[in-house]
Amino acid sequence: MEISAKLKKASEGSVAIIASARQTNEELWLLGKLKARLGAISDAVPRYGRRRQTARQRGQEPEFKRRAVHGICFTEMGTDLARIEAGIESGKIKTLIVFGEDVTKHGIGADVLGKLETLIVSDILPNATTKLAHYILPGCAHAENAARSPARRAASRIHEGRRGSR
Amino acid sequence: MKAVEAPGDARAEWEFLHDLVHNVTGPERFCDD
Repeated sequence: MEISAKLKKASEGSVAIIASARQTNEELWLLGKLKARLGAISDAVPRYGRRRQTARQRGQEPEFKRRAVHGICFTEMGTDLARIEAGIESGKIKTLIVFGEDVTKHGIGADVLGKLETLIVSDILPNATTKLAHYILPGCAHAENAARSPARRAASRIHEGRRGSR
Repeated sequence: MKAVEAPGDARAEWEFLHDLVHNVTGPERFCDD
């Protein structure tokens, strides 16, 4: 509630959002809504390396396109991170919302984050960014979420089985 | 059903986001595009 009140008062262009490439479509859609309401600048931290894909996923659009659809990043992830950093440095960006990333490892140092009036961070584990946060939204790890994906449903079945055998 | 119960106040990220969007934009913003 306190965070919402602060965000409501924020002027257009004074808020930046940094998402994670690991976020779900639902989370990105919600972030897109927030971005539109706040007139915020946003980007997502790119992930490199090979990713295991199912046959269905191989036929789908690349990750960056999915994020671009939700309006979180432009054509590629990470291209606006430098712009966000410059905005914080200049004092134009006063509030930063970070979901699931340690931005100090992606070009926005602790000294820059220290200049923010409000830093809101959601993560499952502590890191250099959460240390500097004014507000922390403690996220759940994979197994702590309610079953949504086949892997989560399988984990729940194992849990149920263990409980049943006691 | 959760495999493991989250400690403390931990919640799924989408739940935080849902509350944030609801409080900042209002419920009607979930419907339009």
